[in-house]
Amino acid sequence: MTLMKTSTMEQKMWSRVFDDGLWDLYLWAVFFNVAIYMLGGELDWSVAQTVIPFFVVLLGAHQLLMAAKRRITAPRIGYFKPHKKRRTEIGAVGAISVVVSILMLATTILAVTGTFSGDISLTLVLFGVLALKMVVLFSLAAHFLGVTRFYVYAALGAAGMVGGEIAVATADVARGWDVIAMFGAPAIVMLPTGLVLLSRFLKAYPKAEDAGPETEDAA
Amino acid sequence: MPRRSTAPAAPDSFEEIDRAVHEPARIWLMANLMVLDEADFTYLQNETGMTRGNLGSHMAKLQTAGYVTVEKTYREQTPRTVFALTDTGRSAVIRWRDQMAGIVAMLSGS
Repeated sequence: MTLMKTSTMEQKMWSRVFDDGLWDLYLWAVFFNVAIYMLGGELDWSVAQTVIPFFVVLLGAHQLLMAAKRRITAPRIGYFKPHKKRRTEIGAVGAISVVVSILMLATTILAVTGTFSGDISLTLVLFGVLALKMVVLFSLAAHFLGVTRFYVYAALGAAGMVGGEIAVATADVARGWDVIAMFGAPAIVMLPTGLVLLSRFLKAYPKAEDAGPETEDAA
Repeated sequence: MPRRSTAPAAPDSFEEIDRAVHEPARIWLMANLMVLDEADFTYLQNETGMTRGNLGSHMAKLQTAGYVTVEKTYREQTPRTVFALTDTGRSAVIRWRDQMAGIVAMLSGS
């Protein structure tokens, strides 16, 4: 038993949900998927080679995450229901995500109806908003949930985007590679991080059965 | 945990200290439950490092005192025992904390 403030205890409890590395692996699958999708566009792959695998991976990764959480994480760390205040904070992060998604939708409508026009393609505008969403959500999650490595993912995504833009502006690099860099940079770190965390988690938390008989006397 | 509104007051006698709370393992369990709505047996065992028997025994004492509720359920064919702190339990922890703060203040002469 290590003594700590209740606020620290509560944040530690919540961050444990991310100790299994499964979210890192899920995010890696999504980010890598987006990067491959964009790469396919740059290499003129067909729709069957880009769009269909994109959605299959996107949906499949989420299903796998949920199944792994149920079968790997829950039996090992147990179940807990966060305090109402924490649930409200998580709800706030979700609300911000919804707002950004609405922003994306509005941008799409503006582009489709011709209200929005410019030299930048619609795809790049959408991915630009997605980049904003990524940085904002990772930073919020890192702040509220105490998962500091999410700051690294946010920084890598932003650095990838900025680096990609500089490469497009200054070198003979096709537009689209900036998006690949934006999603590829964090993805490179997410995969090994997720695997290492999962390996540590499985060693640290053997699968437990629930309550046993009360055999020992409490002091 | 709610902050104290008044200066800590030491108990008049040690008999006033709640023995159901005043035990390191039990106060640790209650402190864990203070920051959650509810948690199951496995979760508390991981958090506290107690053996199953020891944890079960302490929880039984807290339940007897009316400080925790116990709900036995099944999730995917696996039994799950879920604990939650009652309002009485929360008050007991806060009262114990104030008593300890009062004792420390008294012993340090403030």
